[in-house]
Amino acid sequence: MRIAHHLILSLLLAFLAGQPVGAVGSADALFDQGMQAYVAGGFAQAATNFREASALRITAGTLHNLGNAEWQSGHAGAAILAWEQAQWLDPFNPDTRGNLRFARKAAQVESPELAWYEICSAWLPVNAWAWLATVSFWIAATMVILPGVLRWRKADWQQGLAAAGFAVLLITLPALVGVHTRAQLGVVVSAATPLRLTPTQQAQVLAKLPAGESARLERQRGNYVFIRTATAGGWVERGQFGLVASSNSNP
Amino acid sequence: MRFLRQVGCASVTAAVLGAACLNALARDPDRAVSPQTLYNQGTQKLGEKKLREAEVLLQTAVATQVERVQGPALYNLGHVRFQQGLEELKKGPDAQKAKSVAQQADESGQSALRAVDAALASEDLSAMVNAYVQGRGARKELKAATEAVKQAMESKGTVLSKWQRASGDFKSARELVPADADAAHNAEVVDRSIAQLVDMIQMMMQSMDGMQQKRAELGKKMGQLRQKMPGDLGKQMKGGEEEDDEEEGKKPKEPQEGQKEGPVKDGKEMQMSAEEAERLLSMLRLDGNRKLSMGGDEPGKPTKGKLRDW
Repeated sequence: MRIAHHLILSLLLAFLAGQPVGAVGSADALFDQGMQAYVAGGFAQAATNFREASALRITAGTLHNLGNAEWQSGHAGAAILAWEQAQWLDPFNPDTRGNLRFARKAAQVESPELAWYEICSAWLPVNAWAWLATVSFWIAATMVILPGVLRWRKADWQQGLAAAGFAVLLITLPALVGVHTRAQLGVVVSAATPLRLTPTQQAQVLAKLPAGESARLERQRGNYVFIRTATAGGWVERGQFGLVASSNSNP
Repeated sequence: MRFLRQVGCASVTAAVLGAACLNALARDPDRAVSPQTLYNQGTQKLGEKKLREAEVLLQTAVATQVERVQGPALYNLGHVRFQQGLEELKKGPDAQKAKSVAQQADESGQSALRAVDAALASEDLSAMVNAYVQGRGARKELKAATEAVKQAMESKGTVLSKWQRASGDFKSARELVPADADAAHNAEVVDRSIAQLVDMIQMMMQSMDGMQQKRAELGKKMGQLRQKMPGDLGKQMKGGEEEDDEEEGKKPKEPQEGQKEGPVKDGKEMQMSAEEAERLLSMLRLDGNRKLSMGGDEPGKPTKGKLRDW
């Protein structure tokens, strides 16, 4: 009976987390293997393990370690991408922030230029804004609709709560827009990535982008994506550019 | 309820402001020229043989990233760049002339080497002096020929880069519009021309290397000859030889303070007859029935149907 309770609890937790039980277990195993490889100095192996672990279950910690392993393997672009992804999930981690700052300085690349609403959106984890907007909306809506439906006497506190709910909702809107636009931010993974005028193999090369350069994704065509850096816009191959908000941590 | 009315008013105000911004963006002068217009203007300039302007306009049309325009614009851009290469080929030094000068210099160098070898073997002073004088002349000739070949090579290098880009443009046009068989065909033709050009450049490089080696060998043997000459005669000869060698390592003259620019000479564009042009281009002949013809009748027109206006 006790085992059955444990099983039901595990299944419930796994369901709530949105991940299959087996995937969580193997993700943990891969994470441990990655840690062991990292400590033993096998950075390439560690990066593979962390990448596989994050493909099964994305967590900020795994991505942070993936960034460390990629950096130690000499892949600056992949490291910056992994740290950016970790920061997307957990903007409060000072280690990730410090690593990103150090890596960008070492690779001589700039941080992406963010609009004010994008900066606001980075104050909380991306999911927090969605939760905040949903909760505030329902509080405001409930306080406006319920008194009428339930024939309650209108009270000041109800009006106040509704106003507060709407105010919070309005505050979250720019941040939600920021989250949406920041989702198009990405990082150039390969060194000396050719920025092409057209999405073709033999295209005119406008510039060579360094690994770790930040850019915004604007459109996609075939095997190419159109990105805009701080200085220029052009096409790069899909595999040479990784989105920060991508569900897949593979570049 | 008053609060909701205020929210409604704020939303209407925001919508009006947004519409005003969109209207302002629509009136942006940078957006006035459509990609189609750029393409048409570029194609027109290509027809008028204003290649530089055509290149800029077509490149801008390609850079607008409008899929419908990119393919045709790239196709015409390929033509523009191929023709720019042809123009450079016409303007640049004559490769055949450079080749004949190099051959002549090579023969003179060979003859001078033989004379120097003979003089070194003999004890005849007049033969030594004659061989030395002949060697100096041959070295100067070799130097001039090397310079001519180098200039021809630089010019061919410019042509090569233009044609490589033209080939890339045709291939890109084909990639964007897979049905465009003309683009694939033209890319093939340009690639063949590039191969011929590369062969020519390699030949020139070999010729230049040969001349430089010969010149160095001649210099070395002339040095031996100088040492063999009795008394002051060797020293007298030395002055001239050093002068000749020093010219190579000399730095270009820098402008001095207060120096004024000399009077401007009126340049005249090199005129070339149809026969001369044909002879020049025969080195890089494309098949006569191909779209990238280089004859006087149909100078590099883009394929029919590609020059349409929107």
